[in-house]
Amino acid sequence: MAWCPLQPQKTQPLRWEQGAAATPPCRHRSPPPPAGRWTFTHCTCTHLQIRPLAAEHTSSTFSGSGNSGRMPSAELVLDREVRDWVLLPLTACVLLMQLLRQYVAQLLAGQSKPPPSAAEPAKQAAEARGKMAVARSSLLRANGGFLPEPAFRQRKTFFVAKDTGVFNEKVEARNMQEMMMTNPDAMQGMMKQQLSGLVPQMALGFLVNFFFSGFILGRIPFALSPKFRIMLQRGIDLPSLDPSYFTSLSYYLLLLFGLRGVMMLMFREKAINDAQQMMQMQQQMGGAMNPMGFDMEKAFVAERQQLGLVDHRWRLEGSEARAAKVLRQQLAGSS
Amino acid sequence: MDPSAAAGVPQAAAAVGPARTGDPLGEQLYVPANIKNNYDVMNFNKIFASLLAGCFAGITGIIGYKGFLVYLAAHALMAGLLTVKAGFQAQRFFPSSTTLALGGILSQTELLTFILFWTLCNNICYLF
Repeated sequence: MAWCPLQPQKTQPLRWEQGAAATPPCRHRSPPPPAGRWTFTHCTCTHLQIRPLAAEHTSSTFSGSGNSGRMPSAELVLDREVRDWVLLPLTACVLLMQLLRQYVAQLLAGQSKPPPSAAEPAKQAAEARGKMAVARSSLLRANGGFLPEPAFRQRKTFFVAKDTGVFNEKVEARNMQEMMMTNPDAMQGMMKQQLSGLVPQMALGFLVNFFFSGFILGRIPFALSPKFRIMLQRGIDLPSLDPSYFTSLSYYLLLLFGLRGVMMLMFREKAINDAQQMMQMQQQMGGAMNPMGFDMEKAFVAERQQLGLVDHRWRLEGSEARAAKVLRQQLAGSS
Repeated sequence: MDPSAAAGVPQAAAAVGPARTGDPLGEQLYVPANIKNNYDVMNFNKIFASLLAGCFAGITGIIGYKGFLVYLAAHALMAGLLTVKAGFQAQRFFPSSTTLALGGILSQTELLTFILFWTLCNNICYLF
């Protein structure tokens, strides 16, 4: 205010020049920084100014040459318009976008019917039998400890026997026509997932980068190491600025991750979880990538291997002793 | 009846603890749906506590690593309240007695919710 010769203008967000390494961003000649702790404030013409820090903020005076090499922590005070026009609207936008995504995903999921995986009822019956067999064998593996040994062996043989076992039956290879029929459903499912997943986030990220780039948006309340500067201050080249200050794009990413918790509060278990979805998609890609709903061949092979691994261990081992103990406790308690 | 409509596999109605299938029978009977429900309730409350802790830390102007003390204090308070709700018998509702106290403290969702709201409130109140 004192030395800046400009007339008061409409406030605007600050624009940092690329490569303006250590020079203050005000384009007008500025007096050299005074001794003692100094800070940036905004004058009425909205250019930055270097002013001495107010008395109540100083904790220790910065002795010019004889310090321990600690960087002066400049405490920025940012323009109120930045808060009004960037911070709050961006938060509201991302929150609303997440809500929209959630509802669109729910609507699309509600509309789609389960994909018909085969045309003829005979094939459908065979497929249902295969699914049931796989389910039965997994139950056998999980709860086999309750069966006596011969019963377990009998069931295992039913599934795994050389020629007659269920999992060794020849599965008819499906012809291409049926694969074509089931193809569009699978592709549609993936497209819907991607539509309600990555595309709106990437589009909004591009918009944020386009409109709100080049200025500091806020400050993370705890100190960070300088390595975070690359992550948090993309377009800004001020090495003397605290790494705690971040730009709009990094705030956008922080919003995306942080609002996941709010989404879980609003939608409990139906909230879209991006990280889980990406992992699931990768697993599906790495595993059986085929357009059919249920791949019997591979499922049978997998179950056969698992059954071969499992060993029978009777879990009712010491049950007489345990029953006696419980009864003794009951009798002691009641008498 | 459409055989492919519902693969109505009968779920294991009750899983007997301990969880590994090879061990001798434990003394407790777990119902998976109830366990999941309890975990969901606990996570919901902990996320809510992180959110409020973030707003509190931001509005009161706490800066630096003391904010994480507020976060831990909020989690401890919420765990205490949940224990009171469970009638001081956390064993009846959770498989292990430490699940209520320590569950979800270092979870990504809650930490990031706390940091987001702490940053947001701090910036609104003190930076502009």
